[in-house]
Order: sequence, then structure tokens, then C-alpha cells
Amino acid sequence: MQSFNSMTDRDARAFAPVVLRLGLAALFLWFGFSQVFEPSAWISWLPVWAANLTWISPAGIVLFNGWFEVLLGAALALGLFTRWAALLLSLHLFIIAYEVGYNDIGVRDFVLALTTLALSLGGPDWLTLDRQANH
Amino acid sequence: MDSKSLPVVIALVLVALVGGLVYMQTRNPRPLSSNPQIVPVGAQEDTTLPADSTATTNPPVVQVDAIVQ
Repeated sequence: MQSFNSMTDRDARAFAPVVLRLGLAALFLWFGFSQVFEPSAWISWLPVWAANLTWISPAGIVLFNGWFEVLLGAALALGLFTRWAALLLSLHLFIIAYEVGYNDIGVRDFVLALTTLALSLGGPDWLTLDRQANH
Repeated sequence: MDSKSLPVVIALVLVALVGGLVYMQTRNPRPLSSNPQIVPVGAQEDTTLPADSTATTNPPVVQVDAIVQ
């Protein structure tokens, strides 16, 4: 009975980082695709300083941001450059959380940024291309 | 299935699922009724009173004499 418990515990632990990585990948893919398919619906979230940063139109910046999240979200899903993709997405979310400020959405984004940072610190799990390439 | 192709298959399914879901929602936009922060345009509550509403909005008359007695 003891060995059965330790066996299931070990199996469950193996899937913890996989679920974390795929869940965060789905999150970034959802927001990324939403911005890519309908940039105009997301312009109101764009900070003024970001809109004035370049000659690119606000819709163009949203589109760029959307593709950034789609590509890095896909990298997370594949487990490709897992550490770097998660670190970049984490910093990206920290900036968003700071811009949103102290409210329900800002707190949620801040914790999601911390979660993504934890994924970066944890590194690639056994179901990633990173790990497959090293074996 | 080759174990090396498993991450690719999982990623393809995830990207296709999420991308398809968002694409379908973009083509057929609907307000998310579960989110109370999103109020559809034109769905604000009408707070204007009807013309003959004075009878229902007056406060009840308190019979002070009756209470004293």
C-alpha cells in the first residue's frame, strides 16, 4: 500500500510542470489570438506611452503584441526555449500588471506573471522539445 | 507514437484548439454573460420613472395621532 501511494504521488508530480506549462501556453495563446483576430477590440488597453512610442498605429502595436504572445505561447506549448520564452512572457506580464494597476485584473496579472516566472525558473519538463533534444 | 513527436502533437492540438475557439468567437461575437463587468450596449437598466408613478413612489403616510393614543 505504501509503494502504491508513493508510485501515484511520483506519477502525479511528473505531470505538475506539464500542466503548468500547457495551461500558461493556452492562456498566452488565447490572448494572443484574440489580439491578432480583432486588434480594434484591444486598443483601449494600450497605454498612452506605448501608443506614442513608435510611428506604428495603435492597432499595429496590438497586432505585434498579439503575434508576440502567439509565438511565445506556441514555444511554451512545444517546450522550445522554455526558460527564455517563459522569462520574456513573465516580464511582459509584469509590465502589463504594473500598467493595469492595483485592482482585480492587476492583481490577477501580477500573480500570473509570478507563475510564469516560476515556470522559467523550473525549466523544461520531460514532455518538452528542449528535453527531447538533450537526450 | 514516437516519444519525440509527442510534444509537437500536443502543441499542435493546443494551438489549433485555442486558435479555433478564439476565431469562432471573433466571427460570432457574444457578450460573456458570466462576467458582470461586461454590460452589452443598450442593456443598461432604465431608471426613469413612468409618468403615472407618483402614487407608488410616495412614502406611506404615518398616522401620528394613532401612534400617540
